[in-house]
Amino acid sequence: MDMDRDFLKKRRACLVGIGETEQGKVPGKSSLQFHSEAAKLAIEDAGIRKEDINGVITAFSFVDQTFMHCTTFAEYFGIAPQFYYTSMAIGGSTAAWMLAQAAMAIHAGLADVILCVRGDNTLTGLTSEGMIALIKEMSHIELEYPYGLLTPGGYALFAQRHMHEFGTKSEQLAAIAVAMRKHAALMPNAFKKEPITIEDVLNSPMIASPLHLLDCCLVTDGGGAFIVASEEKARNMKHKPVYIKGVAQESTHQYISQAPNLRELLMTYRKAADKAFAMAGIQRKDIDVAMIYDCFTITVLMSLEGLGFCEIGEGGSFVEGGRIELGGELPVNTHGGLLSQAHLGGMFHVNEAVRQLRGEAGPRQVPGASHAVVTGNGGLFSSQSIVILGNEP
Amino acid sequence: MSEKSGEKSKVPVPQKRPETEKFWEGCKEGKLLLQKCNDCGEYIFYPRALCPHCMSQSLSWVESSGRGEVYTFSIHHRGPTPGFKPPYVVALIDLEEGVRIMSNVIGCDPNEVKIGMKVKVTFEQLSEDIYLPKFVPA
Repeated sequence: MDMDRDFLKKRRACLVGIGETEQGKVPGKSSLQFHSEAAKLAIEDAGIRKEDINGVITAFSFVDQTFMHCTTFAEYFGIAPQFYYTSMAIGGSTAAWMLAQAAMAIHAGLADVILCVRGDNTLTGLTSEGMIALIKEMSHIELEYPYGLLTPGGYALFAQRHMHEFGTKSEQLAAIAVAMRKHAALMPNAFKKEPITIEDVLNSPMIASPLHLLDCCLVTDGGGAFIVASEEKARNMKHKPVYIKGVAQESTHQYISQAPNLRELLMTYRKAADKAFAMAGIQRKDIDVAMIYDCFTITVLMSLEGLGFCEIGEGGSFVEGGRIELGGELPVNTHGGLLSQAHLGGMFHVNEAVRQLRGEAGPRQVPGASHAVVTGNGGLFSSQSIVILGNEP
Repeated sequence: MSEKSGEKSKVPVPQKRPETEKFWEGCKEGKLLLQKCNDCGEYIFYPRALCPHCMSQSLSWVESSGRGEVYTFSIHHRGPTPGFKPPYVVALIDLEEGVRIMSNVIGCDPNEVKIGMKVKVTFEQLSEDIYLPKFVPA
């Protein structure tokens, strides 16, 4: 298909507000409470009234599974946006794709101020039955789940294959976890801040070989929100807008046993990334900071290859030697990511990109950051979302 | 799944669905059955109602040789329910017919499993009706 690479330019969409509640172990709060608190913070950050919102996009809750999530939230929060509503469920690629959905709605003229919100009490609210239901959800109920596939196990299958084909080492995966922890130490709203070493990662319990406990993301409570507005509306808001410049999405499978071979999987990701960069009209070298979905360390490594920041198979050496740390050539997840800040399906990858592009990331600021890429990964490498943001149109 | 609350400690037993009934019947007879499209000739796994390659609804069931090799694997050190006894191997196996199947590699030390290892099917009885295909070193 010949994509309309200019559609985002016809009625530009911008990020104008972000909000995030306390993250980590936050008992005594419901999923909708986290949604509402985050939404309130984002509205205040944008400097608007909740009545200004005329679109709402929510994700899903692992704890309170409602059939019509967006309207459930809107009623609880006391808004009745006219007239763009949607609940999205593409797993970890939801957050980044909320931006694309919002941009499309703005382009179509369906709304001009859209609230995107997600929250959950996953750490303190999810029962063991709920956790089992989630694990089941990730695998084919008859032909995968009975073999005891864990979510980390699904990623481990491709980590193992990556090591086999390219000689990738556990130490290289560990370097990713170490980098995320270093960044989290500089992030006030991070759950895990104590420093870790490569040895700590390798000595942490093996969950599903070759992935250790510290190769796996956190489970946390918390809420996050961001607001997307048309450029016209954004002009009168509190902050300098952050522009949505390029978007792309890809999927090759749902169940990991149906995934294509490793190289083909990465090449599909690469083709999608090419489209996002072409739409944004920038090159890889123009990216100052990358917010890469990091449910597991291998996800970051393969995403960097898929995005084209290094060649396929060279992710292992790319993440070594502090190259993805602050001060390195491509700082990744300066907030600490899912591995160390908090897990809310990538909402905070978006928020951190906004802080970086506004120049508000404090000790984590990448000097002069003008372009960021944000990714999401849903299922078991099942759905990739790629969004390129910039602080100029 | 037949798994109900109170049974969460057990290994889950797959429940037949319309698309998979023949597959599980095959397993009970010690046969690993695949679908083959009568129109485009492609093998199909997992079982479904139409060919994912050409949309044909004319599909046949054919017996796999049950032989294949490990595309990749992971040694799981914990399981989703207490019924699983770690460490166990979850593997993706490329069957000779060209389709990929998830399974456990059993009958050897998990540390002996390697990518490219030749394996063959065996069946493990989970209930009166359900025999789950697993793989052993060939």
